[in-house]
Amino acid sequence: MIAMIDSIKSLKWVDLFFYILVDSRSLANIIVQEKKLSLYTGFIIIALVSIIEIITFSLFGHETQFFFYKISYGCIFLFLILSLGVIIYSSLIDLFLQFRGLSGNVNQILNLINCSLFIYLFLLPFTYIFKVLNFAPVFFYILFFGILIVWQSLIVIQGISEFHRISFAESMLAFLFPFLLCGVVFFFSFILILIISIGFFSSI
Amino acid sequence: MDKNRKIIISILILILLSTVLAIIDIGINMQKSKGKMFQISMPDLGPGVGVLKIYGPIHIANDSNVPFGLSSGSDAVIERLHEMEKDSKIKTIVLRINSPGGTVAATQEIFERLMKIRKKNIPIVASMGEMAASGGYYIASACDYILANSGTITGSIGVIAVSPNLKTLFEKIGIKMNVIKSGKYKDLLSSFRDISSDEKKLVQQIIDSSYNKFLKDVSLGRNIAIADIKPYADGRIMDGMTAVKCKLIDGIGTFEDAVNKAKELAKLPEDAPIFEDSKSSLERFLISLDGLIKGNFGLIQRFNYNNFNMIEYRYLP
Repeated sequence: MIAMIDSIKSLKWVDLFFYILVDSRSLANIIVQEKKLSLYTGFIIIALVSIIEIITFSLFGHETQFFFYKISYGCIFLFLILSLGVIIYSSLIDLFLQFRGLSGNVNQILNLINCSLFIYLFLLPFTYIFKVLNFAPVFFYILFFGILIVWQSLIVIQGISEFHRISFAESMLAFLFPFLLCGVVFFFSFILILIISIGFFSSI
Repeated sequence: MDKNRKIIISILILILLSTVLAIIDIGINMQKSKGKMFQISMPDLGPGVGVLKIYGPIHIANDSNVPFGLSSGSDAVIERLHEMEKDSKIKTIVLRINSPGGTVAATQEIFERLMKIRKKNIPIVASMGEMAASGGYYIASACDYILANSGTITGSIGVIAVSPNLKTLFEKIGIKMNVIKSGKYKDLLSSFRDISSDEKKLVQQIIDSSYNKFLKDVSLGRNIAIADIKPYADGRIMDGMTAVKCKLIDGIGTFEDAVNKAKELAKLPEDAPIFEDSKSSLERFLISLDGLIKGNFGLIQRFNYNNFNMIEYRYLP
């Protein structure tokens, strides 16, 4: 507890945020040096992103009291979903890297992806401006979301490249591997479900 | 403090500020849209009107047919009536009926349940949809007040048993049934042979007994003499206007009128909440999915073979 208070006071976490925004390679080095700090900060970022995402999304509709459910249970649910997603995603990247003969360190990748989510906090102020101006807020929400996805991808790719001293292209391949794997799995699952459904409905 | 740190902390404060502003904005938005769009089931407070919808043929459904053991048929109706009776927030009930009737036992069970609720001084108002004939009317008669649209098909007071005679068809295609029975009436209403006069008499007795029960219950529910009902209790259907003249219903009105009448009878304010069916959207989806998988739509349901050999309070053209 004391160590945690000390690390908060030291403002090292602010440096972490700074490097997320400006220098992904330095961020990777900090993650290697400050394992605990980056782990805690990473999960706090996920919690913040969950809240911000729900608030941003709620700006568009005519909200009812259901908003209270979203902001309480919804945030917890989104936090769990995001955490699980990040854990699975980083494990798959690590799996790929180990197949390529590199040393495995899922913790580092997990912390890197968690920290990279920090940029999604900007989604609210950016979108809110257009909501206040009443100028195509949904369009700009989607646009900013797209930009942030690209930005996050660059942070993760550069981070992985820095961790393992590999080329940007190879790092990008590792980043895309989970998507390719999921794509293949979903494709075959879809085919399987289709065959089963046709069989089921034709037997009725 | 380092310049970079100052920038980051400023950004974080900015995000925090925009979050607070966004929450205030959403709060104001919620005040404006109160009672308007996207009204999702809220914890409504205060006494209100419970609504129960009885749609389609009334029968005791086999629970195992519905996914996850959810109730369906008359059991679901009785279950919902129990819930509403126990619910302290529900002071009056509106029954929305759109049914051609159904099996004798299922209809009687619902009627009895409604009468018990009525005895507890919970006003019940029936609102008839397109059709509330035979068993549908039987159920409505248990209510304190009945409203129908002028074009509603109602009446059809009577009992019916339908049994197909496939004897000639079976002879044509050369099928013979071997029936070994303990008594001569064991295969009563069999589709494979003609019905005997003894058997007809026996079924007629059951029909008459069920018919008398129908009359007695309508008389009890509507508080009118059997002699006043009997002239119209020959199975005839009638529209809402005629039903008012025959005193089978109390007036012409829509579902909204029925809700208002229920509020009036229970002395509830005009803005009293309405508690719709307690089934969640997931439950409704599962039940509809059950019907979809079995192909229970439209004509198929109309010609459902299970309707045969049953004694029913049902309008069966």
